Amino acid sequence: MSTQQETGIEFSLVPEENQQHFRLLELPPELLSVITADNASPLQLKSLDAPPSSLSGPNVVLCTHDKTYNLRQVSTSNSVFVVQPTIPTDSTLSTPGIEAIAQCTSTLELLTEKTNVSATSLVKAALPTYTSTGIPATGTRIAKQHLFSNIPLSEAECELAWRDLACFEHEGAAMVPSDSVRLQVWRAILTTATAEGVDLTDTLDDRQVRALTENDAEWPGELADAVLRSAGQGDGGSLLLLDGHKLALSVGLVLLKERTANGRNAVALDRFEKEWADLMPEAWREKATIERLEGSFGREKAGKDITFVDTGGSQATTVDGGAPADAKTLGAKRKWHEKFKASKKTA
Amino acid sequence: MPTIPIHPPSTHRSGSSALALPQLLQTPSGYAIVEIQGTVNTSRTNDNANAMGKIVFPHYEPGMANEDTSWHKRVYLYVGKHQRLTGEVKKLAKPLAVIRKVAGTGNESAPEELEIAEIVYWKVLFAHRPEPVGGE
Repeated sequence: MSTQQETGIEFSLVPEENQQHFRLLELPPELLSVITADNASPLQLKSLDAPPSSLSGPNVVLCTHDKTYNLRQVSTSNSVFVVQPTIPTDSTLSTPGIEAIAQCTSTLELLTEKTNVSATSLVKAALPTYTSTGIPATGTRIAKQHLFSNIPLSEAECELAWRDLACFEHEGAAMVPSDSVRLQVWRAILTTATAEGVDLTDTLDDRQVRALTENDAEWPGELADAVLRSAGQGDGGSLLLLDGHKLALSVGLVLLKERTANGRNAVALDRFEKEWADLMPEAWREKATIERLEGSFGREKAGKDITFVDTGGSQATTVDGGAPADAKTLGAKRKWHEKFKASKKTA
Repeated sequence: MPTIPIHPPSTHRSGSSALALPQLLQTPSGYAIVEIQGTVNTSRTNDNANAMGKIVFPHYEPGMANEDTSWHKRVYLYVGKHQRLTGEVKKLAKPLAVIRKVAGTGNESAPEELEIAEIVYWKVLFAHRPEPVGGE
């Protein structure tokens, strides 16, 4: 044994005050492949300015370009050291060695469960609304980039919500159009398309998009562009192809919200479907059927009338707060010994 | 709170060239992870570093293939002359990213940036209590 002792690797510990600060993050396979890819883009740590409820605790998430992960900090009672080879101060002293330059008392783990925060409701809540009276005079002006950096979701998820809501940036200020403005703009686009003989169900090139979104400064050009592209397939590009299902869904939903004043009133189903179909390009009229809005409407008067039912934001809040979540955490706390047992085995 | 970027590991990262550890445990930056069950109490001896002991891989020989795992089961950490901790080399179920702070780009919206300094796939774990051993 003693010969081995002599050939051993010197292990030393840098005094605490000289230690560096490192964080350890567990890398599940999909995240590992993201960061080891060629030209990997940076990950992002994001947090919510004001967590929706006090229960949710520290709300920090880790985002790749298109995915969002919840983070959990797991403490360890073991001494976990990050070591590095020591640099020999004297080359004649050739004993190889390592030194611990940092001690990590906890590890960051990714939670596999999906975040229940809806990008749409966060984007909507953060932005001033552009109404028929024009650009809101009051309220803070936020640029799109700034908005995204304060939403605890990945870039791609923010972008999707931005597009679905037909948000637009005008003179550096991001805005979300109100339902009635969206309808008004869409109606104008539809009229222009008919007048100019543009087929909205076919691929649209730049020139056609410009022609469709041109207006007599009634509203910013960016708004019309956003409304048109909100039903587009893919990520834009020079050619735009509208998605019939997406268009029917967004026009139908916006119309329903507008006509029922966000669910306060009811509208007659047959009249609603007629009006909806009128807002669709001729070839896509039959896509305007109420079944498409399943889950977003409620029937009244034996199904003759319908009203809007909000599922987007409200669902997220009931999952976040409320009694069920409370009970769950309490139960989990009581089973701490079982959790501990599991971690002991893996350690 | 603004978004804090975490930069992926640099492909040009390099560290100290002292190749003390078996090749399997070496990383481009030189960082590795050693875990000891329990706490380590040190009394300060000098400003640079406190010598803790010597690590020995009794079954390891330089030049062993990386696929050869026969030496993983036994690692000794000799503390002083009379105590020995027994451990093993373990593959991490999930690799660990070693993250550190780096200076921001000067952009005021991102005063702080992070960087993955290294990705570590293995650790040396000492999970047993110290045993007495005879001195020289």
